[in-house]
Amino acid sequence: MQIQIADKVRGDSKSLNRLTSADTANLLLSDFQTNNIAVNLSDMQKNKTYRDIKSIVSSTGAVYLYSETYITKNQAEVLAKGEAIKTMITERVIEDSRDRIKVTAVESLSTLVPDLEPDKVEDNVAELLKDDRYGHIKSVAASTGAVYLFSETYISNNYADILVRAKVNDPCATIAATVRDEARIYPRATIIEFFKNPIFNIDPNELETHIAHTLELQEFKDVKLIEASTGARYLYSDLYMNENYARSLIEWEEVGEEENP
Amino acid sequence: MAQYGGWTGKVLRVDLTTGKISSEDTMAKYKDFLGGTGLAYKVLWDEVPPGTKAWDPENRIIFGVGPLTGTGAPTSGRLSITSLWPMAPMELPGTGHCGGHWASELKFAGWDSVIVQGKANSPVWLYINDDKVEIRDAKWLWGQGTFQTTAEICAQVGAEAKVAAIGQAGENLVRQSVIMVDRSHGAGGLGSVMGSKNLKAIAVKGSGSLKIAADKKVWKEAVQEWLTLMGANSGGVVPQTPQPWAEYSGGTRWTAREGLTWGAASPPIELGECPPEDLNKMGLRTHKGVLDFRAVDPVSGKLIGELITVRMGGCHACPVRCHIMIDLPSMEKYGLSRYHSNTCSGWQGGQMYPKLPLDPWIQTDIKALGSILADDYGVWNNYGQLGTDFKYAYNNGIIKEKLSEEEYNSIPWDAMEAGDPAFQLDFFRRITYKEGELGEALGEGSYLLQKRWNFPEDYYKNDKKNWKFGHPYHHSVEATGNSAALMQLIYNRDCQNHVHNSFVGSGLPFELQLEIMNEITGMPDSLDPKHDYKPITPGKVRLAILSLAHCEIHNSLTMCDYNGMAGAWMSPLKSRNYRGNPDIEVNIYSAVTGDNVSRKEYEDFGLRSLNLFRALTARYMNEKDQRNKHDIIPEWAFEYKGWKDFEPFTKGHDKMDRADMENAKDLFYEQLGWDKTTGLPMRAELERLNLGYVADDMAGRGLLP
Repeated sequence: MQIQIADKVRGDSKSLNRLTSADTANLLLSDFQTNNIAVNLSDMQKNKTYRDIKSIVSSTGAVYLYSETYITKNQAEVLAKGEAIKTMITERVIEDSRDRIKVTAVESLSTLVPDLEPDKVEDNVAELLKDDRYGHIKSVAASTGAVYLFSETYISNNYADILVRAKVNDPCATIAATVRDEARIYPRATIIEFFKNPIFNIDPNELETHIAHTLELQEFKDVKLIEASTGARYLYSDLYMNENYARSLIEWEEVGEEENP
Repeated sequence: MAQYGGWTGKVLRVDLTTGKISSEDTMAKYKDFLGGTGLAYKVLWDEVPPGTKAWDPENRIIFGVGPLTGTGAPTSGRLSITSLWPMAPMELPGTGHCGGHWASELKFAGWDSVIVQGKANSPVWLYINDDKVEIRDAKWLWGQGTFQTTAEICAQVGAEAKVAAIGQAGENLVRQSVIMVDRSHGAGGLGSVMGSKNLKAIAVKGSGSLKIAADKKVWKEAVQEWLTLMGANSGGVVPQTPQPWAEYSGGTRWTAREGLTWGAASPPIELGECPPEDLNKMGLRTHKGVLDFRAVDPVSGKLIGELITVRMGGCHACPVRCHIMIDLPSMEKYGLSRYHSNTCSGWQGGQMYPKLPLDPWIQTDIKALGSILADDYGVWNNYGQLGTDFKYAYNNGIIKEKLSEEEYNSIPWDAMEAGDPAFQLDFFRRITYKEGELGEALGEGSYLLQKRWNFPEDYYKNDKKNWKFGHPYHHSVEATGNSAALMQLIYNRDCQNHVHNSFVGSGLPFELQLEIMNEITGMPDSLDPKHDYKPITPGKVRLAILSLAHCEIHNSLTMCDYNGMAGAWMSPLKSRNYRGNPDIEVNIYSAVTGDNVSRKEYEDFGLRSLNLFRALTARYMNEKDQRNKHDIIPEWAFEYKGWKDFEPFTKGHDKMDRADMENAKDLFYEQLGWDKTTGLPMRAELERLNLGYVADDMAGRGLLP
């Protein structure tokens, strides 16, 4: 048991230059009918074989272990601070994703750690995104360049994309990007009413104006309007499908499918 | 019986001519065929010789259930009713499929199926109350619709009875008639076979239970695994609208979302999101009201289907609720109940209108009234072909030409043109009572109607509904192109295969579908994008054969062919990269029965049924050239005027290529072990499937290739 803990801590310290969370160590103990890392650590300290294994408490109260053979105490303090920041970021992102179904702006995270400079936040985020312990935290960039985080456990990649587009509040860009995605991924044309879903953050009363504007803009010239025999209107991107193809898809959706359920 | 679970071990046989009621050993004769359609094909093969017609007393009508029915295995509430098919040319065999609770009740009563033969002297109904089986007088029920019949029988024997009944259409030998089960589940096409036997209804009450072979833990785990992998109605594994948990969305019947309600419930029930992990909300995933009633209420802006749906119902042991129970007060002005339920094609009673009125509530009334009338009279819509044929004949002046002036003028055409729902009161009455040429001809079914009224060549080239033999296509070229066209070849009614269609209707992106399908078939290029079809490949042929085999198995076990495939081939679980477990059906079958088979042996159950069905068809036709005389592809698949500017294998249409389809047939027959020239099973394949006696019989008739 103690050997396993020491191996894990030393491995993290040596190969990854990383602290080992006491929670992780506790997991290693779960097979041994005891899960009190503090008790075990205390025992380990009495054994000279494990004297290099040290603990440190971060500002969030979390306990970490490291091997003094590979990480100095000063280094450990810096790393503990980083771990605390990552923990705080992760908790915020999880809360936003799980409880509010929203993506978290990286920009907003500086308020979590008041004395942290904005560029340091970005460094910590970059580090967090590379850290497999936080593999469920993902980032998505808006067309404005702003970066958002979300937990894939609670929000899918696709849904995060939609939320970020909505945050930018550029209805034409949202419409074009969504139409392109639908045509590229499935492939299918997109019925105009689709954009009345509140998730897109487009005022239904202004939807027609935004559609018309999208169709006029050079940057969205691949987005085309097409009408089914029922009068239902769809958009498609000619980057991914031609008009004939789009027409056959919408006719099936509008007429064929209902007649052949 | 019986070291096996699932089966009760007894098949009930009722001879209405002699009044004899007997019991037969299921396992001795039918185990290789499971039950359902497979069992019924075997009965027809053994007992109903060529030359027999659908309404002959010698014909059998088999109410088929299987080893899974009634066990609680997910989706196992289906009933397969098989007989000679009155609407088909030469009255070739066919099956009407439906759900409800009748099938499981039959198992609880201790029976693995019911074979009915002969003809009663006067109207009767059959009462199965566990082992006690009685033929009872039905003179007092004759002339009643299916609703009243069901109510009267339940009033006599108890509300818990499950009733399969015919309406006046079946009594009057309208070929295009239906058997209504549990009031709102229709098994199409065979109402008149019951009518011909003077059999008004079969009511069942069962108090028993079924043995599951596996120990409780194994059984529970298998069921739990399947539930975890299942999606929504018709195979949807992603929600229709974007939702936080879903990587993909759109194009499915997984309609649940925040804000969507069963609006006619009191108070309305909001469905909310139903993520796949929450199995307790599985029954809320499919709000089919908003799919079958798509007109928009101008006041609330909501779909009328939302406003009139009280709740979703369904069949025994099915967690996917696809039966829409509506409350539509406007039906009372026609003297009907405001409450009704049905699903899919069952709501298509109103398809005969050349043009629907603009008022969305009147559109809704048309749909609902047509369905209620059809269900009560027991008229079948033949998957919409009835309405399509009527419209064609009306629009092309055929009706005016074929009817006497007096009859023509007696029809309320103005009401039809104005979109008055009440037109259907006249329409369905004429069909039900065979009134005049219109009623008589429409009730004959599409095949005989086409001949009787001499539909022109244009109909076959441009009526994109009609496939062959008077039946419509059913998830054919628009579903999986040339692969699905192959599936349409086999049957004598519409194809009724949902395996492939559920897969492409899963809502997953095409590239992911292709990846999964190639794994299933073990071959590349097993699928094309919708309306973007390429030449046939061995993989696409394999898909066709797997779909046919699984469909036969589903209809024999019995389990739902619409909802069952999600779980086997695909799932809603991102953690599994949306894969299902192709062995899940096999595991469930083995757990129930204790018959531990491999996946290959399991598929052979389906192939055995398929081969026997093909032999039956050839024998009844007395035709060796099944390839050209039976396996017909309609002209519209090649010539439809709307596709005249398109070449095959380009995007944007479903136009097939003649040479490619001939090649497809070659590959299809070859993979099946059938002869390419005739399209008939060869002796080696029949013997491999323990059907050597079929090969011997075919050889004796000069039908073996």
